[in-house]
Amino acid sequence: MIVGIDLGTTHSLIGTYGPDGPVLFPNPLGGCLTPSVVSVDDGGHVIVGQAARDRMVSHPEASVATFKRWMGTPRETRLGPHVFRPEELSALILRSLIADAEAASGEKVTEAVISVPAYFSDAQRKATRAAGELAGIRVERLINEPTAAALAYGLQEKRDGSRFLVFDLGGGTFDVSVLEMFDGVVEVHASAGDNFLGGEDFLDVLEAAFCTDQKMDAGKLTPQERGQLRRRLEAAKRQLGNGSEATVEWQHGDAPIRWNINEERFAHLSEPLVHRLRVPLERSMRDANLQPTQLDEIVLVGGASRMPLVARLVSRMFGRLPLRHVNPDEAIALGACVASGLKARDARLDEVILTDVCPYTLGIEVSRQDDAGGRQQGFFAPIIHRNSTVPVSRVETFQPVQDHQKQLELNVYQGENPMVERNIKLGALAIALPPRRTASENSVDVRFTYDINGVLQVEATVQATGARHELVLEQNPGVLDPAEIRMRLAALDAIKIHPRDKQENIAVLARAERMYEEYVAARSQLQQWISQFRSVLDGQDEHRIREHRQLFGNAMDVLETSL
Amino acid sequence: MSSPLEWFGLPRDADERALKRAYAQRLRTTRPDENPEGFQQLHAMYQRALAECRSQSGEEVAFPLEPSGASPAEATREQALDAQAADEGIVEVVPSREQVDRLVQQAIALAAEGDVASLLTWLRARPELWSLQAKAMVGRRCVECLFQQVPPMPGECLQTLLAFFDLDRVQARIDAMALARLSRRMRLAWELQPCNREALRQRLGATTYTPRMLQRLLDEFTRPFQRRSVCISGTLPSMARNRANFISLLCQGHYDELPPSFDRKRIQFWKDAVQPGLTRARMALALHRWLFAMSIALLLGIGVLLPQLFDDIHSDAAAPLDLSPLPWLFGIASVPGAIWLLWVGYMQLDAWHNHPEHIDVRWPWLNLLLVPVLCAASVALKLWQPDNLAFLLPLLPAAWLALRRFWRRSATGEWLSPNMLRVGFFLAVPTLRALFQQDVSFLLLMALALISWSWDLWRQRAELRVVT
Repeated sequence: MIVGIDLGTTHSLIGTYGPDGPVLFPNPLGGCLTPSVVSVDDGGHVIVGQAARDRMVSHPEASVATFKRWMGTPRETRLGPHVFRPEELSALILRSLIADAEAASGEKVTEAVISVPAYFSDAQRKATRAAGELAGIRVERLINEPTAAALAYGLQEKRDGSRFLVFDLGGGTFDVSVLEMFDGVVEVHASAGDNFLGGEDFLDVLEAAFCTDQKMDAGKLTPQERGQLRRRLEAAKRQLGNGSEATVEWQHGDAPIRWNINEERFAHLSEPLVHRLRVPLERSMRDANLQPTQLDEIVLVGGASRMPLVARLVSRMFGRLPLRHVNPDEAIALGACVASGLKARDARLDEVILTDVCPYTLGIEVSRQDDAGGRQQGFFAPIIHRNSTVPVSRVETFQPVQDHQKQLELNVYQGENPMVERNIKLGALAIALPPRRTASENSVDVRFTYDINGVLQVEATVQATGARHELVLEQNPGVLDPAEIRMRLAALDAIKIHPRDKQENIAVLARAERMYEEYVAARSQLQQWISQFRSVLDGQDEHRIREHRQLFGNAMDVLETSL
Repeated sequence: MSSPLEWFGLPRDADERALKRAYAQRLRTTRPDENPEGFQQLHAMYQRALAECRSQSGEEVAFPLEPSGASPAEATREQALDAQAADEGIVEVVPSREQVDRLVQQAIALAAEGDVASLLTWLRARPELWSLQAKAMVGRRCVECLFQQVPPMPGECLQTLLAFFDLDRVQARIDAMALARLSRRMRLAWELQPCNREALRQRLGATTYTPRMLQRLLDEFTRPFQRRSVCISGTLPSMARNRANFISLLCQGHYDELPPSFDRKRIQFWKDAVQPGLTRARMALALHRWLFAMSIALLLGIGVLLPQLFDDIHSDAAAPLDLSPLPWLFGIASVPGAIWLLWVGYMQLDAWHNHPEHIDVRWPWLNLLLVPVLCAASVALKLWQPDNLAFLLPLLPAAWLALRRFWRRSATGEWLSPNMLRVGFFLAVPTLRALFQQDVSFLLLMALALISWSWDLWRQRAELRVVT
């Protein structure tokens, strides 16, 4: 079975293209949204999902979230006895999702299409693929998140000959794509984005405002306190979406704190972030060569797009209200499911063809001659321009600087700035040049090929000799090599994960522990419940456990609403 | 196939809808994931056909590269757009040329103050710039104005302006080199304003340049060139180096970008004065320094002779003046000058000889065979005057040049400065010669020169090409 996975910063989803179109698989707790949080318990067992999210409050030092932002970097996180790279943390999430899919469908998952932010770089895409391999599945195809959302939306609506813009503001990343649909063709015209802008940043704004008002130093809070505070602020942020005011009540030490914030103030505080949202919107419209009037729809996806300030921004820039009848949490996952159906060549999707673009410019470093005859270095010569439809292959011819040059150093960069120092270096390639030739006789053809899976291949051919050199863009410190992946796969297999049927019990206990940390007044009550539940668990009577778990959960619901 | 539309099997006047249908039809057999090459060709054709379609129907690009407003066709199009926008309830106001210019001038004036944060706040707060089209127009006009006026502005403000209008990217089609040049000129103009001296001092190095020193140097470079005063200020060798460094730092090596108030002749003089090789400025300075040394010698001479004169007056004897110290003094004063001349000449030879595989040197054959020629000259001298040391005159440079070239290619690292090596070599050889017999040293040096020369030649045989 080929599945589609939305591996999000805050939540992840899994599904496939089933007999009735795209379908999502529920996790053991019954929901489709699995929090992208990993935690390790005292026994060294890994916990993933809602239980891990609750443990973020009770055991912050053994839990980690928002690691999607570190993908493509070598950053390591210590959780209890284990040390994980971002790929491994993602692989743990993937493993849990795959277990859900296999439990729900009864089929073995062999391959997945994973959605990534359109603006993910080469290293970040490689890291996502590595995460798939570490989870034991094949990941050949990655789909850009806004494209996935558009795919789901477009097929659902069946609107022919329309152009629309997908605005995808997730937990940690922001993407914009401009697309057109006609005769079953989904054509992406332009993508732009910001990899470090999402709902979490808006939460940071709220946290900063809270701390300023209460004259608190956010850095001095313990991780537990910070987890509690952020949970409450998150709830307040969601509330601001519906009402115009939200109240945060928090017991900090002995002092009860009550803090009010209204939508207006929140919008004012978030203004710098809103201005950052403007840039990719303007860029994608300009690259697609469209006027706001030429768009038929604006589709908002991603949980953070529920904030009223997003709708206001869109209507201010485009003069119309964005479309709201897609489920912003599920649109991308559903699109990934459609993409998995496309990958499996499902007969019902035979009419559908997707063409995507390369979201950034790729090129090499060159030096140029100035008017005074001197050489100036560090200029960026683009070879594949951003928003070229993929697959794309382009050749440019370059000359060495000097006569009799023995070697040509090709530095490959990704970015938009005309100077390479402000772009990202992807790799370098040294090309030996034939001797006894002047610069003009020693031209080198450089071919860049960017395929449908977002893999860049660089090939240089010396014209005089026909010698070919190929660049392997693997020496990035943020990317694991195949040998390392094999090694880490074995290490991950050795780590114990709680069996799937125990997950509900773990989640209930984690929630109770979280509440124990948060509500000082109810501690004795909670402690009593926890010990009762533990004794029921020890009894190992499945029926009784289920019954008691139900009661326990309801009691906690009542407790949480009353406090 | 003349028209891309015909490639799709469509008539030449086909509309966009028909083209898209034809493209979608072909796409089913040429999927991007199965036939990448075919798809690329198909897509390229589709783009061309689309452009043709649009040019026929009169539809133009939404963002013209040049700000619109002049051509009547575009004006009507904008009106049409406005009408359409009004229908759909979109407030898309295209600002007039005057409005654009006013905005641009305000932005530039604010940027010249050098406060990035307030500039950004101001730009973001402008309601006109929320419109995509207006923003593109203002951005373009802004860059045009910057290139025309070159207003004083610190680098960060220019970066902020460009980033706000999203013009700091390759696709903006602004020549990167021209932009870098503009940025340097604007920053220099800003730093040269008296109120921003401190920023300039920080860039040049606050420890090296005190405010007074900076002011003095800036004043000096704006005064018209006078050979005498310039030569006097460069009497000490470090002074020439200081001034050349200062002016090169100030403009970062782009001398033509200095404002016209700077005296070009003066700049050229100091630039030449530190350049390797025999430049006129160097010669003038050397002559001046030699004259200076001579006048000191003369003063010393007078100092030596004065007591004699006094003695003469007192003794009333008509003894002639003893002038014998004078030639000595003048001779000693000339020695540095002579050494300097030899040194410069040798450096020229060294620079010319260093890269024999570079075919663009003058007299390539002589360049290649210089070492054997010098050796031959040495042999001739030895045969002509066996007991004389004259043979060392061509042999020493020959041995050194051969060794130096050999070393250069061996990349032995910088364990000694080249100048120290040179001096050491030229001093060591006569010492060795004194220790050994004359014939032995002759043969040793000759062997050294010829072996290292031929070895080097053998190593670079692959690149060697004398005839262009």
